[in-house]
This record gives sequence, C-alpha cells and structure tokens, in this order.
Amino acid sequence: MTMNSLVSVRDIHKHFGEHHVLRGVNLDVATGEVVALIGASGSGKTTLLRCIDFLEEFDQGTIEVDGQSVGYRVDASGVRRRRSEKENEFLRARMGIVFQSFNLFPHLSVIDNITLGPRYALREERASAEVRATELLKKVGLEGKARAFPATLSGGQQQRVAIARALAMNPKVMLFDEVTSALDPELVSEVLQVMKKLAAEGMTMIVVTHELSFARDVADRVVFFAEGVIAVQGKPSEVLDNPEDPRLRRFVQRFSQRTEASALPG
Amino acid sequence: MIDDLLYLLRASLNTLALSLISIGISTLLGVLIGVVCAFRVPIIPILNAIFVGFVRGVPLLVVIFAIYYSAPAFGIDIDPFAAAVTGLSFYFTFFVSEIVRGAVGAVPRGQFDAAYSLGLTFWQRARLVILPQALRSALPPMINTWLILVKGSAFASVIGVWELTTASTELAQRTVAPFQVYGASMLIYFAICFTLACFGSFAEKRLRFQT
Amino acid sequence: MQLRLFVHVVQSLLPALGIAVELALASTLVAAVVGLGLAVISQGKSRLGRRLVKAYVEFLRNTPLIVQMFFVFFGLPFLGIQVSPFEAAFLSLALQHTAFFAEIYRAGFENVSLKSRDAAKAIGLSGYDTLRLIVIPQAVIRMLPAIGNEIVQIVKDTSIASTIAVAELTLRARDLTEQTSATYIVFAALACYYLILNGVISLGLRFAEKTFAYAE
Repeated sequence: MTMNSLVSVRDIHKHFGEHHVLRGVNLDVATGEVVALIGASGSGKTTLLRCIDFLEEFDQGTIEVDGQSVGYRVDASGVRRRRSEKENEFLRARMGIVFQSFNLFPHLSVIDNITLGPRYALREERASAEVRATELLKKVGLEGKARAFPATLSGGQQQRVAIARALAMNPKVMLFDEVTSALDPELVSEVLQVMKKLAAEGMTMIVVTHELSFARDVADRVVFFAEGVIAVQGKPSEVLDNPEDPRLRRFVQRFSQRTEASALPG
Repeated sequence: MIDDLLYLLRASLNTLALSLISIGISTLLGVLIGVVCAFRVPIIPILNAIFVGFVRGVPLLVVIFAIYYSAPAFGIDIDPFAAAVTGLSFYFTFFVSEIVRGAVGAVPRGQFDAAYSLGLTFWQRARLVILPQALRSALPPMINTWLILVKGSAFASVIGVWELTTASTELAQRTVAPFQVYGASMLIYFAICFTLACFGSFAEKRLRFQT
Repeated sequence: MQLRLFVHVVQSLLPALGIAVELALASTLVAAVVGLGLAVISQGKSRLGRRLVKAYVEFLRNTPLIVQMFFVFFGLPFLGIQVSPFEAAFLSLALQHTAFFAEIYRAGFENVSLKSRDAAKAIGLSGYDTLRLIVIPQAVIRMLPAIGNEIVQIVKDTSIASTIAVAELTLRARDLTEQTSATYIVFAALACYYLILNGVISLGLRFAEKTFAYAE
C-alpha cells in the first residue's frame, strides 16, 4: 500500500448478476493528483467510481480513502463485514461526486441545494453555510443565481451548481462521472473550465470522461479501462499519443474527432 | 322554497363533515402506508397489495354495508355515521397508499444517489429530498381521490346517515318534486366537487417542475 | 357451519349475477359507443359542440351516481315516462359512463404523438389510412388500461342499482342478511362475486393488450 495515496483501490471485483463488470482493479491516486479514467461504455470505469463513493456494493477487494476503508472492513478474524451506515455516511461526506445528469434537487433553490449537505450532514449553521455557498457560487461563475431554481438554469449552469454542491462538503477527493456527456456542446467548456481551475488549486480528482483534450491538458495520469480491468495507464502523452493496445487505439481514434469540437480555449 | 334549499344546505354541511373526516384519516394512513411500502419494509407491501386488490374489485357501497351490518355480529354497536366514516376511510386509504407508493418510486434514481453522496442519513434523505418530491407529485391524483370520496359519501344515506342525499330523498318525497330536489342536490354536489377539481388542476400546474 | 352458510349465499346470489352482468354489459356498450361520438365532437370544429360536451362531462363527473340515479328513476315519471328500475339504472349508468368514456377517448386521441401523424402525412398516407394504420392502433393500446378500469368501475357501480330496487347482487345480499346473524359471511360471498367478475375483466384486458401489441 503506497503511503501517500489518498485513494487506494485493491483487487476490486463486482458482478451485476451474471455480468462480471470489475475484474480485479488496482488503482492509487496521490493527494493532489488528477486522474482521468477513460474507456468504452461498459468497461467498468463508472462502476469503479461509484464503488469508491460506495454508491455501489462491491464483491471483493478493498478501497481506502484517506486511510479509511470504504464500505467494508475486515475484522480481527479475517471476516469481511459491512461498515455501519453511519460510518459509510461519514465517509461519503468526505468525497464529492458530480453526476452526468446533475441530480440537483428540483424543489430547492440553488443555495439550498448547496447548503443542504453542510447543514444536515455536517451540522453547520445556516448562516455560515450560506456564506461559504456564496463563495463557491462565485468560484463557479454563478454569483447571481443563489435564489434561482434548477429548472430555470441551463445544463452547464446546473452542472456548475452540482460541482459547488459537492465542494461545499470540503471533500478530500472529487469524483466526476462523465459530467459533460449530457451537455449541449456549447455548454461543455464552461464546466471544463471550472474543473481545470479546481485541478490547478490542487484538488485530488478522479474524472471519468470522454473529453480527451481535457485529459491531455489537465490530467496527471490517464487510465484506460477495458473489459473490467485497467489495460493501460500513464502520463497523458504516453497513453494517448501513440497507443500500442489496439482497443485503446480504436478508442482514441473515435473520441479524438469529438474533442475537436469542444477543445478548451487557450 | 328557500327553506327547502336551506334544508339541503344544512344537510350538505354534514356531507362536508363526513367527507373531511374521512379524507383526513385516509390521507394520513394512506401516506404512511405508501411510504412504508416504498421503502420496502418487510410484510407491509404484501398486506397493502392484498387490500388494494380488494378495494379495486369490491364496490364502496358493499364495503359500507358490510361494516354497518356486520359490526353487531362482532359485538360492536356501531352508529351509521361511524360506519360510514370507517368504510370511506378504509376504502380510500388504499387508493392513497398506491398513489404515494408510486410517487416515491417515480422519484429519479439520481436523487437518491445525490442524497447518498452528501452523507445524509436515511431519515434526512427521506425528509429533505425524497418525500418533498414524492408528495408534490402525489398531490394532484390525491385530490382526485378526495373528489371520488366526496361523491362516495352519498352512500352514507343508504345506511341512515343524515346528509345531503338523505335530505334530498326526504324532501323529494315530501314535496313530490323530485326533479327540482335532486336537481338542486346535484348542483350542490357539483359546487363542492368542481371546486375541488379546480383546486386539483391549480395544484398540478403550480407543482410542476420543468425537466 | 359457516362454510355451509357461505355456499348457501353463493347459490342464492347466482340468479342475481345475471342481472348485474346484463346491466353492466348494456351500459358498457352504450357508453363506449356514445362516448366515442362525444369524443369525436370534442375534437371537431364546432365550438358549441365542444363546449356542450365539456359541460356534460364536467357535470356528470362531479355529481354522485346515486343521486343521478334517483333523479332519473324518480324524476322521469313526472315527464310522463314510466321506467322500470332496471331501465332507470341502465340509463343512469349509461349517462355517467358515457362521460368517462368520452374523456378516455379524448385523452387517447390527443396523446397519439403529433410526430406520428406528421410522419404519416410525409410518407403520403391519406387521412383515412393514417387514422386506420397509425392513430387508432396507437391510441387503442394507450387507452386499454383506462378502458379496462372503466369497465371494472361500471361493474362496481351496478351495486348502486340496489338503491332503486333492481334485483342485482347487492340487493339480494341485503335481503339475505335478514336471514342470518352471521352477516359477514353474506358480504364475504358478495365480495367474492365482485372480485371474480372484475378479475375476469382484468384478465380480458391483459389479453386485449397482447392482441393489440402489434402496433408497438
């Protein structure tokens, strides 16, 4: 176990019924590192992300985040036991996740969306939570929108609120699950800009994405998933420029055309 | 003539009382059962399914009769008003429970994911995220159920409760003017039910989130 | 002992079943057909027609069937029309459920996506063919559950005819309660009749859904 890994994934297996989705995944993410997970649909990358946040159960293996074992713990006699709901909730609160379909709470205003977690899970006072929420809104470029409701916002705006909502919990690591895939092309860059800023500030990020130019520009490491395991990983230039693995080559060819359209400015 | 109308209006107050009490009980119980079923607590969903099947297949009038005429056999001395309330409440509890159960099920999976990811406890997730959305979408069909209940309250007349339909029958026999009396009675029911229906449409428009 | 009573009640109610089924069947047929006519008017060009249909539907939906039945049964003789209880019940059920069928059809027509109709026009299908091949099959499938529910409701509503002395199931059952103190057995048997009747209708509905699945 690498001592300075913030996130440590060991030999993860997961089945969805008959389907063996994750077949022994090992991954380390150091503090401050930005890791991009790429791969075809069904290769397991989203499932792994959800396992890390314990939104999915996993059958075998361990996940450690900030020294804490996620989801399960092996007791003194070597038996694997599920951790209590309270422990799992506590751990989830220290990880932030942003979803492809935003999942903002439609019945709450933007600021209530952002302050919900801090007020109820972290037991903060409404006033201080709102102060921080306002700062976060400024950070994602949505200053005036505190009282707006999600239905009145564009996809890109909603996603930025979702990022602010996750950041409000002061997470140790931020997980991104194809956060731009559901957006109209012209709204993609505003979200990628926010993510780029976050990375520059030193946030540890695990990003499942199809945006290869983003991976090239921002990621410290790119990890290619195929058939439930990590097939290739390394620096972006190593992985993306001249891939040897034929599956990776096909993948890069397919998604390079798409990223022309949404390339980051500058 | 005015006296007659006032007579009917006074009786309709009883109809309202009967309806409101039954609406209150059935909504409260129905929401409770529906939520419990949606969160898959053991046993209750099976019982709920049985009762739902029962009220879907058996007429309300029969249920009210059954309660009123069977209670004495079990040693319960029941008065008509109580029997009517019991019948109406029991019957419509399971319409409401199905609506609520469906509404919780219709809340998108992503909402559960997002609530989980913030580290909220089960009760916090239910109270702050899931139920506010579920109950909002359940309200318009629930209002429609209330409307059906108000119409069903007329059956109380058949077991002797004095309400609008009973009064209309009395009056129609007394004045030998069934057209006018039942016509007026229908207009009063219409006023009550149509108001409720409009409230339902209004609620539906206001509670819609654009997706 | 209770089982014997139960069997006795079931046998006694059997003749009344025929009346109830007759009433339900007749009302359903009339309501389904006339309701279609009303729905067509409500989609039509005449503003007056649309308004009249809407008023009719709203009025019948917001008044209790039992009061409507009293109105018909006790009121018609005053117009010089003599009606038997069965006829009054039939008329009343037909009037009420025509309104509901009209609503079901209206919702069904409006829901068939405009896209399908435009697409049909684009391929060059005539209006009549469009209706026959595109609109009606889609609409029918969408409406089947609601129609099934409506028929079940009509069966349940036949019980209201007991209040104007139609010799159907519920009235017979009420009579039988005079003969015994174990009245719950009588109502249990009565409930079984309705549950079985409505169960058969639900099965029929499922069969119909499979038959019309070709349009999907």
